[in-house]
Amino acid sequence: MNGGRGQNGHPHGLREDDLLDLVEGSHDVAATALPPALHQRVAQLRADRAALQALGECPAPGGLVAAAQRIAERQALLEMEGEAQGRLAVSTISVKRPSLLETFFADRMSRRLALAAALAIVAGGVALVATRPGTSGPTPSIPITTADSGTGQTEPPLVPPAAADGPVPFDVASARADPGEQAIAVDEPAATALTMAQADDQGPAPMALDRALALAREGRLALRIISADTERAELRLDRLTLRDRPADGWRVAGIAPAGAVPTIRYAAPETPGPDVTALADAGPLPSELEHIDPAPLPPLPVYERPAGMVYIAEVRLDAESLSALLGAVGGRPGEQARFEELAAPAQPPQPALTLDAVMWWAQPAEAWEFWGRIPVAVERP
Amino acid sequence: MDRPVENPRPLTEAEAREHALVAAIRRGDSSAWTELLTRYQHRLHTICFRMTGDRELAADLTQDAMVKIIEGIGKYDGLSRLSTWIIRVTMNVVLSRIRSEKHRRHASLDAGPRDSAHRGGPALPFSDAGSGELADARRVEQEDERQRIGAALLRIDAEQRSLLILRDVNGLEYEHIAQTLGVPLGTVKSRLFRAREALRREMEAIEPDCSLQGGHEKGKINESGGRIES
Repeated sequence: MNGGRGQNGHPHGLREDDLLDLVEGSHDVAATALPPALHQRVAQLRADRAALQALGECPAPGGLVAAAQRIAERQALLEMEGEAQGRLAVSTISVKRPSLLETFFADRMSRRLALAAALAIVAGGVALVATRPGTSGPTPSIPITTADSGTGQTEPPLVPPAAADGPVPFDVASARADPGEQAIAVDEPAATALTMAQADDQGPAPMALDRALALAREGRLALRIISADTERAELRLDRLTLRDRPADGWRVAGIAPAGAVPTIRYAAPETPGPDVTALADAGPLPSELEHIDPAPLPPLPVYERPAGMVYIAEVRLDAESLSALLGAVGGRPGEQARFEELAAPAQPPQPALTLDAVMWWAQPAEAWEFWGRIPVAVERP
Repeated sequence: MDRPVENPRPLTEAEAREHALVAAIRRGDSSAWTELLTRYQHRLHTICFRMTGDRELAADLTQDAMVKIIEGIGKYDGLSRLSTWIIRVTMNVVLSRIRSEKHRRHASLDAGPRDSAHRGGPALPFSDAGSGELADARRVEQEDERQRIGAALLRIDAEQRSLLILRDVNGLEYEHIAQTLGVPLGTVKSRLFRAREALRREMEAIEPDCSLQGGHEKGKINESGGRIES
């Protein structure tokens, strides 16, 4: 003892263990001869402990266990896939699609035919100009008339812009990252189809909400999230499935069941191409070219591309709810979320009859709300 | 270091069932996970919520902890109680998050619990009373006291907070707390007492009227109460 203090410097020779016993009830405070100040302090600490014990349990929100199991399952699958392949599950294949001209000039015979055709055109042009009254002399060449020729612009190639160099159309396979299902999805034309017709990374201009709403009513609206970190985007969507916010006009119902939405075919945005009708207006082809059968184009190569998950979102069919959904699931740094038009209705799985649906029918017609289900695809750029 | 070792003892019915569930999980029965995690979900969520005071963050942390439990069940050696191991994983997740966001969240934690009550929502922080009528003055007083203790809890150091939550909210014995936090038994007792003192100081720093407003008059300690100095 030193001046009435215990080993740990507490007064009256009490150690922390003793004081803790006093607070937690192992010792009878009343029977312990404590100074009034210390007695009061111990009583306060006991009251604090009682208050903490009275806080009770805080129930976990529903769906937490299922969501955790789903995340753990997906992480395990990703790890297995990475171990099996010994590399990241991201395709680095860059496919170059040959253009029409490249295909045509691929062999010697085609080159000779092209040369003959060019000579015939030049000769025909010279003859045409020579026979035209008032023409003083031949012109060097006759350009093929196109829609833009009047503006003096360069003639566009006879290739749709989308077919120029760059990634070819690719298939985004099923929501479940099952290689077997991906292969089936590519070969299965009857499937609902998530074939992307145009792989432009920049993407088209944002779709107007009115247009998105109209497409949603037709079942032809998809929400596409393009993220370099798809796992992060998927985790966010997984967490959103825990929230039940019908008042916001939308909710993420969960991951699309395997096979329910095997693929989604995005509609290619309309792009202006060359006006080939002008060729028809130029009159019949020279006889030298009539016997030439245009060689059939080789089939487009189809490459599978690792796909992210496909979720199903339920949204009230009004512009405000669509906007809220878009804002909630996308818009993070490094991500791009946009509505996309589907070539055909995706026909996402319909929910079983729920209490909400029953209530819906129980309401007067003016109180009905129309909800739609749209796929939310998470993809890499 | 007097690290405690649990004595062999007969298993309770609940513990025996949990052992059976772990065995089933190791045999590859994934459905056993659902039962096991469902048993613990409220307990783990309570720890996360009391540690953070934020319901949404608590749900996220509980989910993260569950994922780590699923991933790490192979590392459970069976020497300690399953509950001890599960709570240790959860507490590590929470403390790790708190440490990583300490600087960023310091201001918001100082300002009191982040919950819907401060955003005008219906639920009060640390209020489990729901929307029941609070007509009784005694209930109002109790609710005020609960909010004060909850706010004070969030103001103390996270390690001290974890001790109080494990001991008083979860009701763990000293030995299990020592195993959960990986510290000796004596250290648990001394730290626990200091945590109680820290909590008392924060309680005294929060005037009853200020607790609902997140007021913080740190340092205002009632010296006349015979405060025990360590």
